[in-house]
Order: sequence, then C-alpha cells, then structure tokens
Amino acid sequence: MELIKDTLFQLNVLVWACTNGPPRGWLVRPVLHDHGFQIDGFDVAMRLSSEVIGGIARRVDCGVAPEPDVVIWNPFRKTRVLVECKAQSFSPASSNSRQCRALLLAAGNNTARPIMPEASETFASYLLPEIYRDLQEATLQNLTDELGPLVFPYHCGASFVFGLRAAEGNVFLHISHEDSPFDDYPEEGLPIFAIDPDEAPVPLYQVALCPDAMNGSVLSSTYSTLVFFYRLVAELLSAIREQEGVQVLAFQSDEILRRLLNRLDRFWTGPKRKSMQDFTHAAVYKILREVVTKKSIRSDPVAHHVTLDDLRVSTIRNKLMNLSEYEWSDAVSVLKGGG
Amino acid sequence: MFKADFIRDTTSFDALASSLAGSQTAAELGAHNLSAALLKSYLVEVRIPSDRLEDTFRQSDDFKFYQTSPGFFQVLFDSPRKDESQGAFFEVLSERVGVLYTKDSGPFADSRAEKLSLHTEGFERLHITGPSFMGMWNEVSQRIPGYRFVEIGCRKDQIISLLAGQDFDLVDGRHESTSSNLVLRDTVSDLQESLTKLQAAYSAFRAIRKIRLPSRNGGGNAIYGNGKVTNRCNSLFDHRQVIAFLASFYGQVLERTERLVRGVGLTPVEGIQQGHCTLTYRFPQPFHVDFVEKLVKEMFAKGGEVKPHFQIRGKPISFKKGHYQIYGIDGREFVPINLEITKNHILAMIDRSVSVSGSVIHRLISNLQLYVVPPAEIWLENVNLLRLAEDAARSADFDHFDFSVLED
Repeated sequence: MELIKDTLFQLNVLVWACTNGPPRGWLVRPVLHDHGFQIDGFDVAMRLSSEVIGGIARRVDCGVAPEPDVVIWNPFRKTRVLVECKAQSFSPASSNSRQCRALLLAAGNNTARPIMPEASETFASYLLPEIYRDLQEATLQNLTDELGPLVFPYHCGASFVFGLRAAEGNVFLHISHEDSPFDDYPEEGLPIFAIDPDEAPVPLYQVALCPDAMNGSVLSSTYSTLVFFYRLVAELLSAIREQEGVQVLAFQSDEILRRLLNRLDRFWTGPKRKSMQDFTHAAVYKILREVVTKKSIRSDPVAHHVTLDDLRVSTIRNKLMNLSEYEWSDAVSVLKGGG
Repeated sequence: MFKADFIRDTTSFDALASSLAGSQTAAELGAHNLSAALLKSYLVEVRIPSDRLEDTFRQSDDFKFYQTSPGFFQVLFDSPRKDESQGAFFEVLSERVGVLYTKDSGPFADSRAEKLSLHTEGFERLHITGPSFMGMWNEVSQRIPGYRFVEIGCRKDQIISLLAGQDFDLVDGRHESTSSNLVLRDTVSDLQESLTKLQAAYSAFRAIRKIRLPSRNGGGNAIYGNGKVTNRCNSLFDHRQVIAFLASFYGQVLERTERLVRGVGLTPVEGIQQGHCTLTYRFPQPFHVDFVEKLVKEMFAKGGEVKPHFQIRGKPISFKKGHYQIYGIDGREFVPINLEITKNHILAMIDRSVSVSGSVIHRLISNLQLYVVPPAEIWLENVNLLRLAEDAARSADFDHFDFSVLED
C-alpha cells in the first residue's frame, strides 16, 4: 500500500493514534494515547542552544534548527518524542543526515520551544515504512556513534523508529523496544485500524494539508489531493452560508486553513504555517476563478473578496457544487490552473 | 430558557381557546371536548431571535403573521384551499422551539407545517430519532400509572435491500412497497417489560416514530418524530402540557448534542481535543459489501444535487468495494460533514463550528433510521445517544405534566 509512504497519511495516523476519540475499537486504535501520549506540536521550529552550537561548530556537519514534523508528549512521564515522517530510510552519507544530527542533539539536550513544558527525557524518532526500520535504526546508531566523541560534553538523545507495515488488510505500527519510551509495546507490532477485511486501512483525514505533502502547486498523492480539494470546496460553501445577505463575500485564507487543519492549527506555530497559508490562499483563488470572473475577485494577502454585483449566491454555490463532482485529475488541474 | 409559565399565560391561552373552541377561557377548558376543534399541532425549531420573527414572517409568501401578544401570532394562510381553514396560531415556546396550532385535518395541516418547517428560512422541523423516543419513553413511562394504555409506533421505509445481490422486486414496473408500520398498544407496565426485548429481537422496533401518551380524561396525545402532536383527548390543557414537555425535551436534546459537537466539557487530557465531533452509527449486524454500494448510490447524487432522503452532497471516494469516504457538506445547512461508510457502520466527522446545529446530527440519524436500517447503537463522541436522550428527558420540564390525575 503506497499510502504508508505518504506524509499526510503518516501524520493523520499519528493524530488518530493520539486521539481518544470515538468509541474504542471502531476506527483507529489510539495506541499512542494508550501509552499516555498526546500531540504537542507540528513542524515545531527548534534551535539548538548557543552552547551546543558553539561546542559542535566546525567539528561536525550538523543543522542547528531541527523542525520535527510531529512532537508527541507524555505529561505523566514528562517524556517528549520528536518525530520525522519519511517515505524511506537514508544512509549516514545522505544529505538528510545533517538534519538528523540536529534532531539527535536536540533530543539529547532536551531542546524545546520555550512554551513547551520541561521534559525529563526527549527522544528522536523517525516514522517510515516498516521495511526500512532496520536500515534507519542502523543509520541512527551510526550517527549517534559518530557524534558522541565529537560533541562531548554534549550528547545525543536516545532514538528509535516507528515502522508502518501494510498486512492482513490492516496497517501495523511497530516500535523499537530499545531506547524508546514504549518498553511494553508488543514486538510483533499492533494493528492500528479496527477494521475487517472488507475495509481499507485508511482513516478519514483530520488534517487535510501539511507542508511536506505540498509539492509545488499539487499534493504528494492522489488521495491527499482529493481530500484537500473536496474539503476546500466544502469550506468555501460553508463560508458562503455564514455570510448570507452580504454584498461582498470574504474568504479568509487563514480561517479556511484552520478548518482544513481540523482546528489543530494551534499546534502549528512554526514558519511552515505561513507556507501552508500561502498554498491555501492560492488554491482558494484558483477555485474561485473556476466559478466567478476575474474582475469579481479582489485579493489582498490574507483574503479574497468576491463582489456580488451581477452574481447570485445560488449561482456560485451551484458552480462550486458541480466542481466537487470532479475526479482527481480535474482537481489537480484546477489546483494547478488559474492565477 | 424554556418559557415554563406559558400554560398559565392566560392572555395567549384565552386567545387560542377562544379561536379554537368558542368563547371559553382557560378555566373552562377542562370540561369541554376540544378534540374536534384542535386536531394537530406542529413543533418547529426556530433559529431566528424572537425580535426578528416578525420581519421574517413578513417575507413569507405562504403565511401572514399578526402578533396578538408577545411571542403569540395569529397566522393567516394565503389562498386557503377549499375545506381548509383560514388560519392557525403560532406560539414561541422557547428560544429554540415554536409551535403551529391548526384546526385543519389531514393533508392540509401537514402541508402547511411542511411549508413552515422546510421552506421558510430560519425554521426546521423536529427530528426525534429512535434513541430520543426511547430515552423519552424510559423517563416518561415511570411517571404514568402502569395500567394506562399507551401506543408506540415504529416505522421504516427501507429504500434499499439489505441482502447481497438482491434489489427490491419490481411488480408491474414499480417497486413493491417496502415501508412498514408497527404499532404496539398496551399497558405501560407491559410495554416497559417487553419493548427492549422486542428491539433486541427485531431492529424495526428501534425505529420509533410515534408515542401516544394517555390523557387524564381519556384519549391521549400522540407525539410524532417530525414534531407533530395530535390531540385525541378532551382537553386543550392536556394537549398543551404535552407540547410544553416536548418543547422542553427537544430543547434539552439539542443543547446536549451541541455541547458535545462543540467539545464543551471535553478535556485535552483525554487526548487531543479534535476539531471535529464524531458520530458513529453502528448497523445492527455487518452487511454484505453490496449493501454499502447500494447505500452510497442512494445517498449521493451526481451533478451536485441533493438526494431528498439524506440531503448530503459529496463525491464518494472508494478504496475497495464496500468502503467509502465522503468529504462532503450538509445540503440544508451547508456544514462540512465527512463520512466513512462501511458494512459495519457510518462514521461522521462534523466540524465544531458554532454554526453547526444539533439538527444536522439528528436529521442524519433520523433519515438513516427511516430509510436504511435502524441502528444497533449510536454514539456522539463517547456518549451513547440513548443515554443523552434519557438525561434530556430527566431534565425536561415536567412542571405542568401532571400525571397524578391519571389515577382518577
């Protein structure tokens, strides 16, 4: 199943796994929540302390500002895990290693954003398809061994790998035992979906967009594109409904993005939020251009405004609803096209 | 807040009584048979602040409203049809619920009520689901003497076959009738004993659409799933007691539903508080994947139209036969609604926006129960909907619901 390589899929799996949501056993098993973890942030912009940066300068090729895709936090054990989502493993020689070293040092020196509570222990981790778990563990070990003597008296944090494996019509989450806060996690992994063989192991997406899923003007997979497109159209229809009676419809990009992120936007405080806002702002314009003329739209950096002079709301609404009948290829062309 | 004293508000009550039953006043009403005069009342959800009601009514093509006292309107119909009365009464019962009183019978009354609740901006019919009726019954039945007779009606109007590889037979080019009405009429104590057992044995008994409660002077008042209350008793006073209770109960159901939708009371310690609320409608048993294919075809129309039975727009995405996801929108209120449909359940993710009304939830449940299959269980977040309804019934206004006189 190709989707297990998709960042947006991986991110949604993590979100559901941390969510004590609907009745148990009927959707995604909250396997991480069961171990006390909850979401603490997305694309968290961190910076190694000046002491660490000074200590490692010129001795090792290392980033100084790791930005893990997801941070999860166990408030009872005061344990934090910095998670990078990847489609596959990489070798110590890869360019990815620069960022990986920063992640290891951030974990080892309990780096956190000022608003985050102090952790007693921080782990660095990668989430990727299970077939790459051994390779990635080897890379992490290799980089840790390499960094150890070079960065003394600073040190690397413990690291481990989450593996996703599609099997038996389900997706299994594997977690390394060693050097992880999941010491009682079953070695054979846990199926994360409560489904039967006639169902596909794909959750409804809570989060419809993430920076790593954006690839130019389109998203990383067909399914991600469809989810983003349909949810964006639904949000535009909802915004129209909420503005009944006005002469100028306003489409605030940040509010639309908030809803596309399922109101989890409070966890997105880093600079990548701006790139998502820009992406959404452009996508809203492209879709509006499909249903109204260019001269009806007035745009500013944070919103698009549609003047209803010769237009009826019902006409715009009907055109939007017909757009939502698009197949994925049409969705991609709409998102690519226009201004 | 529910206007608890409205029954004692003799100004409006006398106006109603005088129009419907001659020159009687509230004090005289108990002695007169009003069943012929007042046949039906229709409760509706009101989404307009009371100070804007007159403006809204003024724009209506079908009705003319004249306020006779605060919250009380005389309603005149435009072009009444032959045998139809000239008008009715509308009363605001609470911030959320109003009632249309009409003397007309049969299709006239239903049609006027439908025009008000479906085609007038700011109004919505009630959607009293099977679990809501059950919660109401569990509470109300404890207050009625066990020897009194009540009636419970269940209805389903199945639009697709639940069996694999089979559609409904065509007879002379038309589908055979697949609607069924089940009526249980017995003493309160007998039904208390047997209703749950019947429901366990046959799911159609979970699709409750009507409960008739006994009145103190014989006869009774029947509450229907769409908010209609028919008067088959000898007292306008009793009729209004049932209306008062229903308005209060439904208001409580909506309020509790909306608190869960908005995440009020959920703490982040329970896991992250999602930006959506989940509704899980579990089917009574796993069906064949063919069932899911037929259901999706019936629920979603091509071309962005809304299928009348479900009123949800969206483009189904299929991963495999029998498993669909729809990132769609409620066709009536334009609230984003994301659905997962499998042979085991329907899961809905609904936005926590303040603009989401409880009706979005209860309309969906009501339609699934009526047109597809009554559920085994329904959960809103982690709350069983039956428990929610029982709590709502316990908190409803029984102040004027004087069952003790039934002992006479």
